[in-house]
Amino acid sequence: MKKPIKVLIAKPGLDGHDRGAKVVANALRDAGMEVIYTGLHQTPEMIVEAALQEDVDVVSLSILSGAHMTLFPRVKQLMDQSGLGDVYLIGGGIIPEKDAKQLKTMGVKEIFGPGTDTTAIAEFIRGLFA
Amino acid sequence: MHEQYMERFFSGDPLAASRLMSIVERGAEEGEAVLDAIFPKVGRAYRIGVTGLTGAGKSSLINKLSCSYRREVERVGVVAVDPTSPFSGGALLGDRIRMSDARGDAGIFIRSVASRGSETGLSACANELADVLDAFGSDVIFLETIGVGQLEYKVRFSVHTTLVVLVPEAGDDIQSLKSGLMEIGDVFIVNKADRAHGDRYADDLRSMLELRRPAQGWRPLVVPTVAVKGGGIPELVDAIGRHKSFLERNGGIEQKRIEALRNRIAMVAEEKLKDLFWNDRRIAQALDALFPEVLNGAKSPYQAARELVAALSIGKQGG
Repeated sequence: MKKPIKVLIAKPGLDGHDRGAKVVANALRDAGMEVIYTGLHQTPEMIVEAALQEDVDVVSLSILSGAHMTLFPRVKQLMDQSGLGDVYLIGGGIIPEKDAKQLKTMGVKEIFGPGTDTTAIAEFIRGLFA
Repeated sequence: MHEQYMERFFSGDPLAASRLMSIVERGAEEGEAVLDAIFPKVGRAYRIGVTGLTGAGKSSLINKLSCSYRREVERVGVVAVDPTSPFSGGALLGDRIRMSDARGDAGIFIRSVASRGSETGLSACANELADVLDAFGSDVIFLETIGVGQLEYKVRFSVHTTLVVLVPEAGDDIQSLKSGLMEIGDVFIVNKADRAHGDRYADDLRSMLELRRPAQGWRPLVVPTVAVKGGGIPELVDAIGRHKSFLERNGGIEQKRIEALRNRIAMVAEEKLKDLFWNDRRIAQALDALFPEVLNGAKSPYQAARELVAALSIGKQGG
């Protein structure tokens, strides 16, 4: 049996806007993936614990609070410490180009900004496992 | 592939447990090799099935219950099933959202799984995932079904205590429920009992259950709860405990074990038979030959099915 790609979509921190996260969750579901949405206000520890228990293939953070330069590296660090170095970390939200570039040098696979076509996100994820 | 995880699994590494569960989910020989290897350690956990109406609060109840059990025991496992979309094959697994109290606790292992076309209200592999959590040392395991349906009753074959979650507004649905769900509950939960007519509904439920002859001597209990506020949770834990002691007094635990194992062998064997059947070249050939005759009305589907099954033995005789 072929197992669908499993994606964790998480909202870290205090930012309470999860419409984007939900839109992406639905789009990935429609693209045939199994999507776990954590809900709001997750700590990096909770996100990594969920990724570990669910054995997801991809962790995706949605951050609109401006705290991305803290949260992405922290989640990446915890993932590596937990043996999840082989799980892809991606994300989206209000993240300036300059920051996105820097995050990518720190092990974040891709950052999707506002206005991204959701099919492009699904295609990107599928491409990781092609 | 699984060998690298076995030792770490038995020494309590949650990542190894998680990776083994994925191997089990993928099925095939590798998945079965894992199930073979863990089987000697399976059977220690007390399993609780949670079924009921969509939106009745199953996940919220499991959230509170697992935290409550965690005060007494070291490890709690949760297998939560959500439906796979029949259109895309994808799934949105949202049970974790409601499990906010349980989420921060590493002693509570929550695994979400998609139903993937299974008709039992559980995923094709939910019981097997529970086995992995069992062998991992979980003291209590919750199995949450998709929602409600005529087929959800199968959960009772794989658990010790079945909880059926209802809400006061379900009153009108009692008629439709009584054939299926009302017969499988060991404990009935009226969640959101603080809504209008919550008490009255619980009373109605009790008097309806009293009309029925208790199955194997157990009269189902009714517990009103307000899961999001934690209301009624101690009473619910007590009710589950009473059912557990009842089973222990009457040899019910062993009886459940026998039933579950028999049921499992039958289910797995049937699946294998199905695979054999549809992967058999003789069947494919016979179907190709028969189908046009059904299409043009020369044979009925029943005739065709009989000949299809017969093709298995004919082929064998022919060599």
